[in-house]
Amino acid sequence: MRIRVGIGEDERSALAGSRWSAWAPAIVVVVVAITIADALVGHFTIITPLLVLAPLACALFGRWRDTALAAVLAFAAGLVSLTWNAGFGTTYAIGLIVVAVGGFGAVQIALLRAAGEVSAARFRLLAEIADIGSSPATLDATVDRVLAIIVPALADFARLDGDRGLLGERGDAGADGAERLRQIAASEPGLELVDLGDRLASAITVPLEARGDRLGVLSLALGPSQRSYAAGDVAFVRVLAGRVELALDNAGLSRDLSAAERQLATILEELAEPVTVMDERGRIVYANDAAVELLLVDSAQELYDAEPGETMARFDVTDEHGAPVSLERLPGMRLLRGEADPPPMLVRNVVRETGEERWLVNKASAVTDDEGRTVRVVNVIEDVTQSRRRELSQRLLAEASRVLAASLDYEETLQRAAEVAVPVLADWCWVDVLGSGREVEPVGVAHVDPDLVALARRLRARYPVRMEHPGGIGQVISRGVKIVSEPIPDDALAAYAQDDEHLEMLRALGLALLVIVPLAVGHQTLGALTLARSDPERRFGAADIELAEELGRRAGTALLNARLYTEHVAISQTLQRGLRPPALVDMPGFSAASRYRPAGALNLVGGDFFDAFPVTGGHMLIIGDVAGSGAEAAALTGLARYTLRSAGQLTGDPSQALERLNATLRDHPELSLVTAVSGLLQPGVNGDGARMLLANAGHPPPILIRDGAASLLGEPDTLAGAFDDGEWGCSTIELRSGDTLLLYTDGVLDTVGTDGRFGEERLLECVRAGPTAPAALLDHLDAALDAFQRGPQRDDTAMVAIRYEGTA
Amino acid sequence: MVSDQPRPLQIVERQDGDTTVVALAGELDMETAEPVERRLGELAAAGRSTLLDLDRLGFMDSVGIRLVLRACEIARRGGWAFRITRGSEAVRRVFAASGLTDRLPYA
Repeated sequence: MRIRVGIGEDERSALAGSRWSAWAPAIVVVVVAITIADALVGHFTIITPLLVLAPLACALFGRWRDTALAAVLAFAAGLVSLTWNAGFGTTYAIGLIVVAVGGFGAVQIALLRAAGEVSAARFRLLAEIADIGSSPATLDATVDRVLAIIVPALADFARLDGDRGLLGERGDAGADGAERLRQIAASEPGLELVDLGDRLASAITVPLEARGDRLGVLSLALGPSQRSYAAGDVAFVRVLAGRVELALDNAGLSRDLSAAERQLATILEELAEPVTVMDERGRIVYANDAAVELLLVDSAQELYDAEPGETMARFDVTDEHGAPVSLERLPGMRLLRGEADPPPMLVRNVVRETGEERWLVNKASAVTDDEGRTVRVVNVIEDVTQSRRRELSQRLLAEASRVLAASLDYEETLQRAAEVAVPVLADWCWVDVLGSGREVEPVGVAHVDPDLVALARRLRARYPVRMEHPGGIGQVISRGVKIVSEPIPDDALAAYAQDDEHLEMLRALGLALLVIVPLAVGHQTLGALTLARSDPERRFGAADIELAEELGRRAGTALLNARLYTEHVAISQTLQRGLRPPALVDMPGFSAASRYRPAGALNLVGGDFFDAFPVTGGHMLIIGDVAGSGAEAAALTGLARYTLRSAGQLTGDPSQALERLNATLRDHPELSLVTAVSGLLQPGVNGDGARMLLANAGHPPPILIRDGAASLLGEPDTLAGAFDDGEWGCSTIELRSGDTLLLYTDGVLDTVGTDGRFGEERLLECVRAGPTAPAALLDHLDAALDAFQRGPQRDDTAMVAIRYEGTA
Repeated sequence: MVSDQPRPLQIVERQDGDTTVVALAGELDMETAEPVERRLGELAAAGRSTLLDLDRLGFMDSVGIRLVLRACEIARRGGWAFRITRGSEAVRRVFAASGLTDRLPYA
C-alpha cells in the first residue's frame, strides 16, 4: 500500500463529487460532543482516543475532505482536552497519538477510496460512451445519449457544437453561462477555466475530430454541484472525447448510410422486378413491393417473419424439365453455402392455391463483409412467364408444324402432333377425327406413361365415342367451338361412364381438367383435339387455351391437306393407270416385251408411251416421246397415244397416223412436240417372212437385230408438232424368223453415266452382245443402263422388243 | 465428273452489227434451258435480230429442240429475225434425228 502525503489529481476530480458531504457538519457535532463529554467526565476517566472514530467513520462513508476535517478536528479536540486531562499523563499522550495516527490513516483510506471511485466512474463513463458507438443510431439520438451520460456525472452543464451550430446541450448553465461557454469553445477549445461566471465555476472544452475532419466541440462546465475540474479531468475528458468522436462518427456514418439505404429502398421499391434480401441464415430481411406481390403475401413483414422455405411451400417449384426444385437449389441458398457465382436459374412456379403458372429466373448476388463472408444475399427474380410462354408456344407450334408437314400420312402425323403437346401443355393429348359415319376416330393419343397410353387406347376401342354421345368431343366437332372444363368431379365421371369398368378405366386415366378444341379449317371442323391435366390445380390459362386452339387449327389444316392429297393421289393414280403404257397385246407370229421406267417415283406418268393394237392386215406398234414434263406432258402423252391409235386403226397406215398426229398437235395453242415411230407389222408375207412398214417422226430409229448384227432402221422425218406441213415416208423392212426389233425412247440414249451419255454406239454394242428373246434382251439392257447410270434417272425410258417367231 | 452435278451451260452474248449473238457452250437440256429461253423471249419482245450460236454445245436433247422450234414459231408469227448456226456435231445429229435438218432458219 502506497502511503501518500500529497493529494493526487484523481481525488480532486469532479468525479469525486462535491467537496463536502453532509458528513462534515455531522463530524463537527460528533467531535464537539465527544470533547464536551470528555470535559464533563473530567478527572474520572479519559475518552480522548474515541475521537479517532470520527475520521474513521468518515473515511468509510464520507468524502476525503470530510475525513481530513474530522481528523484535524479530532486532533484539535485532543489538544484542547489537555486542560482537563493533564493529570492522565502518559495515557493522555497515547490517546492523542492514537487520534493523530488514526486520523492520518483515515484520510489515507478516504483518499484511496476517492481515487478508486473516480477511476470506476471514469471506466463507467467510457464504457457507456463506447456503448453508444456499438449500436448505430441517428446523430440526434447519439448526441442526446452522450450528454445524458456526461451530465450530471461529469458536468453540471454540457453542450456539443457541430460545424453548423449547436448539436445539443444539457444541464443548467444559468442565464448567460451557456452562451459564454459557446464563445469560449468557439475561440479556444482545450482550456480549463475557473470562475466562469456566477453559476459556472469550472469548464473544459475539447475539439472533436474524426479522420482528420473536425466534428465539433464538446464543452463541459461545473458550478451548481460545488465541483470543479482538476487537471486529471482534462486528461480524462480528452480520452472521453475520443470515444465521443467515435460515437458521433458512427452516427454520422450511419446517418449517411441510412440515407443511402433509404435511397436504395426507394429505388428498389420503384423497381418492377421483385427483389428480396436474405441474411446469412436465409431469412428474408428485405422485400420490395414487387416481391411482395410475386410471393403473394400481404406485406413484406410477413416475409420477414417467415422461416426460410416457409414461403416457398406455397408454390410448386420445378425446373425446366419438370424436376422438383428445393430451396437449396436456388442460387441464393447456394451463395449462402459458399458457392461462387451460381448461375441464374429458370424455374416453373405454380401457385398451389390457384394453379397459376409462372416462369421465374432467380438471380442472386452476395454482399460480403470485410473478411469476405457472405452476410447478405440479394435475390432478383425476373418474371419471364410471358416470354417463356411465347417461346414455349413457338417451339411447340414449330415442332407441331414440322411433325405435321413431315408426312401426308395423317394418322401418323396426328399421333406425333399429340405427342408434341405432352407434357409441355398437358398430361394428356388426344386427337380425334370425325369419320365418314358418325363415329369419332381416335387417331392420336399421348401421355408420358406408355402404360396409360395403352389403357387409353383400350378404353377407346372398347367404348367408342360417337358424335351423339354426351361429353365434349361430339359437341366440339358439331359446333366447332372449344370447351374448357372446370375440375371434373368423380360423380361427373360416373355419370358419363357406361358401366363400372368404363368408370374404373376413366378414373385410372386421371382426368382433372379438360380443354377440347376443334380441328378447324375455316368453318369446317374435321375433328377435335383434347388436352387433359391430372392435377386439378394446374388450370389451363388463357395462353394455354389459345395455344391449344392454334394447335387444333394447324392439325386441322394438316389433316385437310393430307385428305386432299390422298384424294389427289387416288385421282391421279386412276388417271395414270389410263395413261400408262398398257401391256402389249398378243401379236400372232411375234413375241414381245416392254419396259417402262418413268423418272421419279411420284411421277408415274412420263412423256413416253407405246402401244400395240390390231389393224386391218396385222398389228400396229407405236412408240413415242412427248417433249416436256409434268401434267401438261402427261395430257399430251394421252393425246398423242390415242391420236396415233385411232388414226392407225382408221387408216392402217403408219405415215397417215403420224400425219394425223402432227395435225392434232398443230391445233394445240402451245407448241407441242412429239417424236414417234409407228410400224405396221404384217406376218405371213412372202411365205415364212413378215413385213414391217415403218414411219418415223423425229424419233430415235429402231434397231434390227439379225444374226448377231444390229443396225439402225431408216432416217427419221420431222418430229410431229413442229410445222404445219410435213411428210412422213414409209420404209419397208422384210423380217425373217428370229429377227428382233428394238424400239426405244431417247431416255435410253441420254442416260447419264460417269462416262457421258449412254448413246447410240453403246446401245448397239449392248444389243449385239445380248440375247435376242425380247424379255431377256430388255432385262439385259435394263441391267446395262442401271450399271451405267450415275445419279438419279433424269428422263423416262421406254423400250419395246419384238421378235418374229415365224408363222409355223 | 458428269454424274449428278448440274452440268454447266455458258451463255455468252455479243453484238454483231444489228444482230445479237447468243452463244451457248456446254449442255443444253431440261436443267439448263430456262435462262436461254428467258433471254430469247426478251430479245423477241424487244424485236432484236438474234442469232443463236449452237456451235459449241456438247449436248442437246429434245428440250433444246423445243427451245429452238419455239423461237422459230415466235419469229414466224411476229416477224422476229431469228437465226441459228449449224451447230456442233452433237447438235447437228440431234436435229437430223428429229428430221429437222432442212427446216431450220440457219444463218
